[in-house]
Amino acid sequence: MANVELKNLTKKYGDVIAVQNMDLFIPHNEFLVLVGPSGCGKSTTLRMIAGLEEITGGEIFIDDQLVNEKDPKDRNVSMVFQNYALYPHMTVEENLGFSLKIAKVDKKEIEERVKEAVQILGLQELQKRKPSQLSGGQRQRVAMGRAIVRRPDAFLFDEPLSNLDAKLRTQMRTEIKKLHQKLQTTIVYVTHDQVEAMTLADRIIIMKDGYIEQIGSPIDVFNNPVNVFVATFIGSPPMNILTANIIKKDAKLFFELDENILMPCPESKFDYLSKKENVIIGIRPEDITPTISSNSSENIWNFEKNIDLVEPLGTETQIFIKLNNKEIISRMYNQREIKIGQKIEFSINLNKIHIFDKDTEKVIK
Amino acid sequence: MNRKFFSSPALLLLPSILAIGFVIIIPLLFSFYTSFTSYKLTRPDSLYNFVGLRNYERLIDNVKFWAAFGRTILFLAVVLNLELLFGLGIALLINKITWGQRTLRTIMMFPMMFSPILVGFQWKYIFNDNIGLLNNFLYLFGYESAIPWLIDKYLAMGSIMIAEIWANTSIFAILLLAGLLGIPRDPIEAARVDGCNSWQVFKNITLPFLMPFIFIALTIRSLDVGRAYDIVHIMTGGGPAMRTELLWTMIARIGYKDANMGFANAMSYVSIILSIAFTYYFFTKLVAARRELGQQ
Repeated sequence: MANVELKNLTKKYGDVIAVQNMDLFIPHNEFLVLVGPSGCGKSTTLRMIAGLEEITGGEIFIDDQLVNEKDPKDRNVSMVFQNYALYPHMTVEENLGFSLKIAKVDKKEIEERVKEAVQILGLQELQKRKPSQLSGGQRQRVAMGRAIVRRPDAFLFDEPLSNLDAKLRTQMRTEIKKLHQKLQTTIVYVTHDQVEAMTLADRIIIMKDGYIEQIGSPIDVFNNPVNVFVATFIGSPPMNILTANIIKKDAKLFFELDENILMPCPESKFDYLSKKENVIIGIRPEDITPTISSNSSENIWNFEKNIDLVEPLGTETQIFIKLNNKEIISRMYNQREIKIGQKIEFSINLNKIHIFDKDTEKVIK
Repeated sequence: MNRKFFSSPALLLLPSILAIGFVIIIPLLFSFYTSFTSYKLTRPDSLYNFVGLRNYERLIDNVKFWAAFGRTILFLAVVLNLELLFGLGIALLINKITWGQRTLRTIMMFPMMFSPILVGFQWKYIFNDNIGLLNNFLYLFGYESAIPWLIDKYLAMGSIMIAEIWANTSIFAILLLAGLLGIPRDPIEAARVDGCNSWQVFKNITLPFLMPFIFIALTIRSLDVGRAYDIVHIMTGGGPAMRTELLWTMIARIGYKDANMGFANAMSYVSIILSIAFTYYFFTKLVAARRELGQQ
């Protein structure tokens, strides 16, 4: 039952900047996901909130109280670690009840709360076992149970699913989401997996080199990435990115996607782009599809190209082509027969393309 | 000729079997045999004078032997506990240091590098009642009557213990430091977030992780301390009036000074029981501690 606020938070290791001037307000009950490549400062941020990492500059508030100088034990947050960090010499039950025992909670209440957590997470059969006798998924569950039992102000998850196999990961992801709905608590969740971020988050923060690149709802960051980094980081397979020259023809502007393939530029961008020589074009694989019928509406633009490679996945088929010597992925959602080397027509919805500045890599609005 | 015996596995193992035979098994059997004879070093022919269990019977009635036996247990108990306590303290402190840890580790091991005989001499002169450093130091602070550190019946034992602890605490410290460095960081951090203060983290997380190392150190050191001889021999020679006589100083005296090797060997075999008992006890504890951590 608390919000978390970071003000101008900075962390340096010597001269290396891990987190730079981070400002963030996490309202009560929000599921916030910090995502980014390794070394982007997301885990450091989480560890600073937990109090495991000293702060170089700035302030952290939990429940409107400044906690900079407080020990981890006095912050009333729970943390779930990547490799579970269970206490190997304690049984599942003892692991779950440990924090309450330390807090000198009444024995009967400990029992009740452990029982409750055991039921929520389905650990009934395993209570007397030691962590070494549990599978990865079960350990993960115990680690979450240990966090739940405390009824903390906020949950901190540090890449909790990255040690699990793919199937279990999907399953636990769903469980974490359900858990959040049940517990109604603030969650800060760190991951490098954009799928986890998209599926779990109320709000995503994409970080890179200690800076926040973009904050927004999963759909918002997916549809409106502010720069090339966010555009390629969110979405799988990643957005196709290619550099295109700008060509003037009949008072109109075109992007040269490849030799003799000129994509018309949206009119709204004429003013800005007429001064530029080239831009970065971003097209999501699902926005570049083989033409189904020839009902070309105004915003659909078609071109023809030879197929380099085909990867059928069942629900979709990924088609690889080359534009300006860059590999471009196209997603086809029907099971039409196509062959490598065949020349087919592709359609691009011009409303859905992303245009980025060549130098700053920022989106051109 | 038996072909099986000279098959290649047996042939290849032969050098090791011979080495172990000559170095361990034959001397062991020989000494065990002599404990049933009245073998005196000065009279080699007494080696064949088989006396049956008489040496052992004499032993059971020998009050001095059992006094030394009890004294050795006391010596072991005090020295092991204090070395563990100091060693653990030092290891915890060094583990906290972020700068100069290697240098400190090396310096800490200096006492281990001295020959125990030299350590004995060194402490003998520190504790000397006339010219000793300690008494002279106390004199500076106005304590004028000389304390007979190595002559007093209680102080002598304590002085030897101090020398022993000084020389060997670092073994504990090194072994426990290795244990500390091997503890994963995560459970400790989890405990801190779970509400533990430093003492609770130590008691609930660090110590259980350290237990196997503690028992390994205790096993090694119980064998070492159990055969303490050189320091005692140099510092007090077992005196005053045999008040610091430990098992092995007594055995050495009877075996070599009195040349009564048969009897001394009988004593040795009884003394070994003590070492075996300690080793067995600590080893059981070690296995239990490892099972506790799920390491098996």
